[in-house]
Amino acid sequence: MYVSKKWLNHYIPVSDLSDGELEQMFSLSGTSIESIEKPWEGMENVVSGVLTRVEPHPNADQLLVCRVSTGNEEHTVLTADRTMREGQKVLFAPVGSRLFDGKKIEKVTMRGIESQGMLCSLQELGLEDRSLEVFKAADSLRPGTRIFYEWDLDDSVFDCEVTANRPDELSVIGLGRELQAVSRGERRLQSPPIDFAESETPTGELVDISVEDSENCFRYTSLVVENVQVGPSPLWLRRHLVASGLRPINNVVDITNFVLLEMGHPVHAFDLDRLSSPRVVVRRAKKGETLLLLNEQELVFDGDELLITDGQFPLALAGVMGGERSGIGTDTRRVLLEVASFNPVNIRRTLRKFNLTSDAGYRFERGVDVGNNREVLRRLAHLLQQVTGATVSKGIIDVFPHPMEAKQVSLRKCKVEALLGFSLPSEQIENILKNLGMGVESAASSEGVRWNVRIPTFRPDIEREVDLVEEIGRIHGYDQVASTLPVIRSKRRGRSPIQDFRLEIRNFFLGTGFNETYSLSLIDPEDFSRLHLPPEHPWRKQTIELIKPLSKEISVLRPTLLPNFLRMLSYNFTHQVSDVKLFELANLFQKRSAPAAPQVDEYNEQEMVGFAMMGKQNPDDFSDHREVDFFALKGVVEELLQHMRIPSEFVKTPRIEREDPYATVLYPAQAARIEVRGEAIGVFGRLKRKVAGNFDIKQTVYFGEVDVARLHYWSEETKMEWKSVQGTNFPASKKDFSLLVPRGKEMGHILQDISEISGVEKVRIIDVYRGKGIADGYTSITLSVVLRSLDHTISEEEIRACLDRVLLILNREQIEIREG
Amino acid sequence: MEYQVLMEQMDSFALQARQELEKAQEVAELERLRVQFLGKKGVLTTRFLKQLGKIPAEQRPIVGEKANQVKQEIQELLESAKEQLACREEERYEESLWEDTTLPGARTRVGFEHLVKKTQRQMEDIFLSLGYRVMEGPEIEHVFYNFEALNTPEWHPARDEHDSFYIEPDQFLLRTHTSPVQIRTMEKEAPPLAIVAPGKVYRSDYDATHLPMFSQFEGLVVDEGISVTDLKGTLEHFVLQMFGSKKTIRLRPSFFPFTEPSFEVDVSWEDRNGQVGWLEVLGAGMVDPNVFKAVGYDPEKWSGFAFGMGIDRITALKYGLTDIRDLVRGDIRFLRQE
Repeated sequence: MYVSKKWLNHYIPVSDLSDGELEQMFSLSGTSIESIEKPWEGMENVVSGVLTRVEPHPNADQLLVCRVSTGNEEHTVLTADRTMREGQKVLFAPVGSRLFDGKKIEKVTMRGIESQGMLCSLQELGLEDRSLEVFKAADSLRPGTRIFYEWDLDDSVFDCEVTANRPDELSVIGLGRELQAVSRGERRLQSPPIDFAESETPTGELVDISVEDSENCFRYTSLVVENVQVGPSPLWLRRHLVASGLRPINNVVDITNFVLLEMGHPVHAFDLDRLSSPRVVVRRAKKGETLLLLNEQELVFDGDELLITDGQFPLALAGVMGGERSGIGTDTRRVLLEVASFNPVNIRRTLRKFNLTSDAGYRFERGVDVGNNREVLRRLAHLLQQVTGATVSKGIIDVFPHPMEAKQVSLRKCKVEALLGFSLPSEQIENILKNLGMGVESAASSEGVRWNVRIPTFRPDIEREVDLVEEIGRIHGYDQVASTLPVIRSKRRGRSPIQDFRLEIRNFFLGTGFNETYSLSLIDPEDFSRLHLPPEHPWRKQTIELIKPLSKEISVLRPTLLPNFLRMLSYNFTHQVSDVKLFELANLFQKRSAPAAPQVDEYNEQEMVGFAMMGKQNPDDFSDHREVDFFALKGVVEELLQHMRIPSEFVKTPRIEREDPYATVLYPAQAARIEVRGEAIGVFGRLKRKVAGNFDIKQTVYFGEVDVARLHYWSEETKMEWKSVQGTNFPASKKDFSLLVPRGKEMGHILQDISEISGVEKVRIIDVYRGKGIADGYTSITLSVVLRSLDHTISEEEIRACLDRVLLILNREQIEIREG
Repeated sequence: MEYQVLMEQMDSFALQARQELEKAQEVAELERLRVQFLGKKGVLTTRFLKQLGKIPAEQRPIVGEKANQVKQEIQELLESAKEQLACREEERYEESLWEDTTLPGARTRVGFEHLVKKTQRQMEDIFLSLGYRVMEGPEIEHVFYNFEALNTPEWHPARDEHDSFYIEPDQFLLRTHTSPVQIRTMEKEAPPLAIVAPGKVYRSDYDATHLPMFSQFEGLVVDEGISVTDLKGTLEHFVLQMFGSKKTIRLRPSFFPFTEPSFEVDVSWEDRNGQVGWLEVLGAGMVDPNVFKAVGYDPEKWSGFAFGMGIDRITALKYGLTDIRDLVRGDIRFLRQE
């Protein structure tokens, strides 16, 4: 809501306040000021003048050379308006002035003659939509008059952010009332004049009004004005509308807009002679009925909408917008005025259904005063008579099927103090409410001071005691209010086990060199194609789509963290950063059929920790040239499980199956599931290069993701006790074996078998080698087997027996021993 | 053997020993000289001590004393030469160790906590130390929790301000705020309550200052006699802990359907030119009685305050971020501030 300070000053004195002071008064009582604009800034030096000489330009047929006298000075000015004559009063904008559209006037020379300014049209002053010629001022305008001050263009316009509960503030008078309260009544609000002369013709003879749907049309008041002269509005009226961000159209339409802004009550004007018969029927639309709106949009109704009709045809979509057919035109002579009140819920549904917005709808959906219809109507009639010389019919038609009584709300002083936490004198509380337009009456009470407060009809937001407490608090202000810290009596405190566990996971990854990311849960469905997912892939089928996404790039919820990581790795790679380790804890989302009702979708959220890496293992260590590889990735996974204290004997990492959803993006040759006691809780592996390439990454990417809740579950379930290391001090014996392992042979279960031999404490891999000296198709793997007894020094015989069993296993698996 | 001759020979032996010891460059050389001079078959023994019998008895003590003096002198010389050599050797060793200390270190990278997550953790800790509990709720939310139970019925214009992402019309949406967690908590538990609820929320907005997904931080305290001054004091405490002791706050009346009275809370902020102004940082208010009714609390008995703020916004303010989209790009140069 834009409010002009000059306009506001007509109802409540504000011209003595600086813009800053006024802003403060508004914002500290709950009306934030988004901006303060000065629409006519730069026009301070525009003055009136008289043309003392008008001659054709010697070198240009289209131009006139004028001398304009502005009292003390004379200027030469060029114009293309060939209607200019000597003696014409004009407005002269000297060089340096700024026009309404922001254009600055420069000194120009055209065909040898310099123009020292410009003769302005109303369009250039922002007071007319489109001007065809230079403004011809009235003869009474004295040369040298600075219209910036004369026409109230030295204005400031406040963009007020009015909260959704305060429709009363969507008006100049409503905002003025706020200032009355904030100033503690020191500034008083004045009502505008509403008097007019009535004609002899009773309104009822000119038009018949009936309301068929009183559930959605609370009240309908009407007058008819006749002998209307439709034409341009006077300058003061245009000025107010322009300052408020509206375009002047014609005097009748401008007055309806003026009253809407002034009093906050939307009104409508119909051309009475364009109705099929002189009547108004307010009713629900019929299914399939249509209406062409003023904005040339054609609506087809489904029957819920409320229409203003002439009994036969729809005239307007009630409370939203008028129809094209009955609109005011230049030939309009008789105007039917409507000041109605509609059900906000119905208006809102209609606005949403058709995706419409209008100044009227904006106010009606928030709730418009049902008590001021007659006053608004009188104000309309007053202005129409003043401006267009119209005659006004006799007597207001007021259809008000269920007159509403003013709400009464009981207010206890003790409740005010309890909720606000500070006390106020009773008189101050009463004054605040009165200055807001409420009726205040003391009432007897056993609970101390109490009032019965009569709520004006323009305040639909106030229904309960607490709403009045809010009013008292906000008008009093919270600047001087004390601060206290409440004693927290809640017994349950702190973080939950899973919340603590999350911090542990984060600390683990941070310590392991992974940087934490924070990516959008919304991804591009195109990414599924970049991942080469077949049409039936579960990620595609389970993906949850937004109904109205902001753009395709963020239109579905991620079923895996992979696309986000690829985007982020790609961003790094394309910015020449190729050594990257990232991790993130975030939710994945899947849609599934409900087990009980397959046609109903269930939405599932699954918290995962994802991790991805590429490039050097230790980029800031010049002595380490290793690139990350599958074993670096697996090392991270194993260390994670170790830190979460899941015993390694419960963990298996089988290669992913071909039909695993991840097998479309990871090479099964280098990818595995993480299984704890047979339950798959995660996956990790090497990304297919085609997929990386689709994200413009020309490097090998490793990725994994693990279910956080399941990891937590197993961590709690299997958590080993911290073992004492006392008693392991008997000396260990160590034996290394270098093995020649053929490609395709998996060592996991072999190592497992060896480590289960009694007397074997640990089996370590100390070297994995392929290349020179090793036959093609083979890998040299060196094991170190540590033998130890917990209760005695292991003997030579025991060692030999153990090693024999190791050899037995290796023989059984037909693994050749190179050394050992 | 003349007594005199013996004494002179000892002097020249001492002189020779001194000269040779001075020339020695290595510890091994010193050891060889010690054996040569002082060993069982060394010069001192064979040339002098064994000659002692050949001189008159009354002169023997004098010669013996002389021999002792020479021995002691050589021993001292040996010791000091040894020390000097060890010193020189250490110097040479140290020289061999020389590294250019101005070269960069061989670093092992430790990951960086994401700024938003770090801020969230710090915010949680501020309230945890006051005795609050951290609660959570789903990101896909039912309209009942996101709007209806929060006193925002279907026709309420306040729903427009949320620019919601729906996934099922009029049923499920991505939550537009963390306030549903208030309802979910109060439905399950009786007062008194003190919780904070951090989490991701979604609104249809994407530019340099808005992400379509961001993190919000909700707070709720319900007890008997909770008032606006408690809210003000709590938020003041938070702001001082988060932004430092020079900050002040102001409560600007505003409107939220689920609180009454409602506030926008501004924090004093110094701009680049040192001008102090106000920055809107969070929304807050006293829990609306209708919200209490929706969860079965008696609004006559209980009162409470609630607040909500954007963790991303707090992060942007704290670290002076100019483009909020930096937070979600995963650019390692930003994450690590390289």
